[in-house]
Amino acid sequence: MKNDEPILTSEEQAARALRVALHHIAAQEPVRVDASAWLARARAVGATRSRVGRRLLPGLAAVIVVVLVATAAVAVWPRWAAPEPGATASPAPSIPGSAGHFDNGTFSFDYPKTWRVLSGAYDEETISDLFEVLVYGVLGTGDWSTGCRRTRTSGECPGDQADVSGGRIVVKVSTFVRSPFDTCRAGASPNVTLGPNAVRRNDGGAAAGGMIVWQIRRPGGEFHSSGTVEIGVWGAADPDRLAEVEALVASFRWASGVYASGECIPTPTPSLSHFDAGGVSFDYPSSWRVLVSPPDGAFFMGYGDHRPPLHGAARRLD
Amino acid sequence: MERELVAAARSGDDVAFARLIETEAPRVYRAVLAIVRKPEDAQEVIQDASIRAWRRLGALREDDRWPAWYRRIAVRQAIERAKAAGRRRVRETYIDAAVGHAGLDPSETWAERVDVMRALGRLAADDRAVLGLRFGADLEVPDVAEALGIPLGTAKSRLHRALGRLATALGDGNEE
Repeated sequence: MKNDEPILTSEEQAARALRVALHHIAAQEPVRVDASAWLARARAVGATRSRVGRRLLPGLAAVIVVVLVATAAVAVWPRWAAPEPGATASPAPSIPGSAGHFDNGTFSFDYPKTWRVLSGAYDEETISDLFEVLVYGVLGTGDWSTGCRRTRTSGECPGDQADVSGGRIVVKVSTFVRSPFDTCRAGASPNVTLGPNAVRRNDGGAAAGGMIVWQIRRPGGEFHSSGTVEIGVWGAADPDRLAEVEALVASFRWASGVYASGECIPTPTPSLSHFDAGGVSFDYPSSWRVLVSPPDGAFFMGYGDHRPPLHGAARRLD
Repeated sequence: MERELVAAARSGDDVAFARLIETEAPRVYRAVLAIVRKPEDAQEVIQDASIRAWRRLGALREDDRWPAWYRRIAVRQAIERAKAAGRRRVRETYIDAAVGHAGLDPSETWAERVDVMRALGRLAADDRAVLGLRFGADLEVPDVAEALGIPLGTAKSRLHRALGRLATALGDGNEE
């Protein structure tokens, strides 16, 4: 009996098994990259803006803009006019709260009094309408600067530059306002608990002097969603600095009444309704509506405006 | 074509950037999967790496180096995540539990995949990276070297050693 299969070394067999395994698993559970979803969102953002712009009377729009800007400046970004880091003639940046304590009305935390305020709040809009980060403040003992401060005209966002040599530290407190990857990833679970806070630590950016990030989700919310606060840290490889950051995260508190909002709220267990007709009966979530109920006993139900879209169908067989 | 997309993305074209990611991510995902071994972790690495790439696209000096640049970001993130998980001694959910949970096939073929992923788990993250790039992303060795930022000779020797360790780990697993 002829066997055309070449005899493989154990290394060749291992390589082949590995290739098959990785391709097989990736085929079973492919990477979720959905460019069309990005584009839809990009168009939605653009369309919403242009629609609003067309509909509002110019005078009314001006009034609303003034009110919104004033409200945002007072309530959300009390130090909107914080100077560019390194600008010598500007006053020192500040953040809401007192020395060693941050409190912006939405959340609060403690930090070492030896830390300086390197930047107050600013809106970090990088290149596109799809991506925006709201920075609440930058603190620490190191040097820091950013190239991503409303840089739409420059078209470049080279990212933060932090110098934490000599055991220094830089801490950036921010949240996503919009992100092309702002997908609800239910199931991303906390991987560390500090004080009363179950948070998610991501060391992925630590390579090459990057940052370690602690994510703190809103009550009732998911990680990776809008509103989740990120504590990004340069210099946490130093054990003393790491202890400082962990103490900061442990002291983090959401203000009462702050909850997650939007599409990334975990879906509660649905209440059930009961279908019983034509000799067929079963339970289904009360949030579903019957889409078609033809007289022959076939029917369709589901909900199409929720993620993931779900439709079901059943037919009685006589 | 790719250079045009990179140039467009650098000037703020989301569509172009989406196309770049859509083209490259599936390949890189397989390499990352070898490093972190759990699909949900690999998904997260790809998303984080893509965000990082988007934010730092201005730092990419040569447009034709986009694939290697993006792969390097993703692989670094994956290695750091794998090392951090090891340091914290996080109890691992093996690939069989993670994926079997999704109701995928519990066949003999699948059991072989599980053996391979378990064997990978006995290797260092750096070894998994070189193997993932070579046999997951299907890159030629020079491209593996570029993605890892190491000399070609180093990549060759590291690949040879990692493959030997994987073969040993698979052999040990079969004897258990």
